[in-house]
Amino acid sequence: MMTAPGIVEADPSIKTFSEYPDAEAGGIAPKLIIVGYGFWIFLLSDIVMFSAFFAAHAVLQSATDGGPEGKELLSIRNVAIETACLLLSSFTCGLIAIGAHARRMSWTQLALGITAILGIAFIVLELHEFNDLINEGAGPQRSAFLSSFFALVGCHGLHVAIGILWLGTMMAQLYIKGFRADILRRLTCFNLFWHMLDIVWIAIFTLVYLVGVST
Amino acid sequence: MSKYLKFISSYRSINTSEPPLNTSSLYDFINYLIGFSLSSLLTCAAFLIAQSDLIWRPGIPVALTALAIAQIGIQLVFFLHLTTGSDNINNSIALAFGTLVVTLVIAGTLWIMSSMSHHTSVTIFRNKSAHNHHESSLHLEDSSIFKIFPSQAQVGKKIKNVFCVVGQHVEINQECALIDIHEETSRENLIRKQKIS
Repeated sequence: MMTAPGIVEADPSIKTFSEYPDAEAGGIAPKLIIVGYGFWIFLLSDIVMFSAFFAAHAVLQSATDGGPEGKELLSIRNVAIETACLLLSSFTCGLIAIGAHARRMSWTQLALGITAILGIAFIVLELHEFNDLINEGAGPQRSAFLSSFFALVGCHGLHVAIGILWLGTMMAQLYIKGFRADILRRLTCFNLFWHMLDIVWIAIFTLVYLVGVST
Repeated sequence: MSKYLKFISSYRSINTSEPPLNTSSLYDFINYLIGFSLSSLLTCAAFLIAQSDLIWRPGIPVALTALAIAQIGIQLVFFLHLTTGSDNINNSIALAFGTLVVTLVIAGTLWIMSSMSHHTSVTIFRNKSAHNHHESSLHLEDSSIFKIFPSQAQVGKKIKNVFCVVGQHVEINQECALIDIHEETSRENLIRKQKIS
């Protein structure tokens, strides 16, 4: 049988787009993945903002204006407890995801509650530290070094505080609306946010506290 | 494995009609537990190194930075589940771009600021005597004051050369900068000429 030039016969081994049900072949991703991706980009831009604060702190580390240095001011014991709180809360935040995945309300709420308590403990310790520093005359106005310290650590603390507020609203939304698809997406975003805060804290306790005290 | 599963399944819930946790939950739980254990280990190591003499002191910041990067990597994998799977490849690419920007911001700032403080560190000095009309060398006249206190000066003329750096101890009569006074004099001459005319 002859075919006209330019007309290609359909190859039965080539499937059309709709015949590929799995995500491997492309197509529109589930909404959960798209939302997660968008939120991830927001978090990365947040990290870029933090990097500017880190750079300012690194440059101003020796600009103490004859005032106290990091070595004399920072308490390693305090920062160790803060780190333990945040790391443990990052773990319990993972338990939220497990509970939500298994649709267990009590497990999820319990994990949310523990995460909130650990987050509040972190904030209280940090405010206590800030208060001590200001009372010692080492407030943010004292030197460029202290300005950069308060800006960086305070900005992280502010993020944690906002995270706790978000966590509270998530507990209420979950209790009232249950495991709806949109609530689960919000929980996933909260998970990403909270883990990101712990990652920023790793950089803070290493570069600001440990390096600041040991050099 | 089944022991853990039993442990999790025996977890009492307020609402008994809730579905039991299945194997996939157990897998996730163990995943988080591994991430948490490794992170705790690295954190403890960092605090230990910073407070003891286990490591050569000037090497401590490098060691601490390495531990921090390792811990960030562990949290990305075990907590944020960042993989190179098909659902995740975009996230990884975005992370790579973010890392690039962060590196540029931090390394660029440190580079520019250290280079700037190196080039603008003209500390010192009083003009002792002009050797000729074109160049004047600057010395410390009285070092008894300057030895104790760091000195600083602003120079209103063009600096031709700088020989001292910030924090350097300077001796009496040591030349620290060369200033071109030629510009100034030629301008004064110009003004005078204008007045005459």
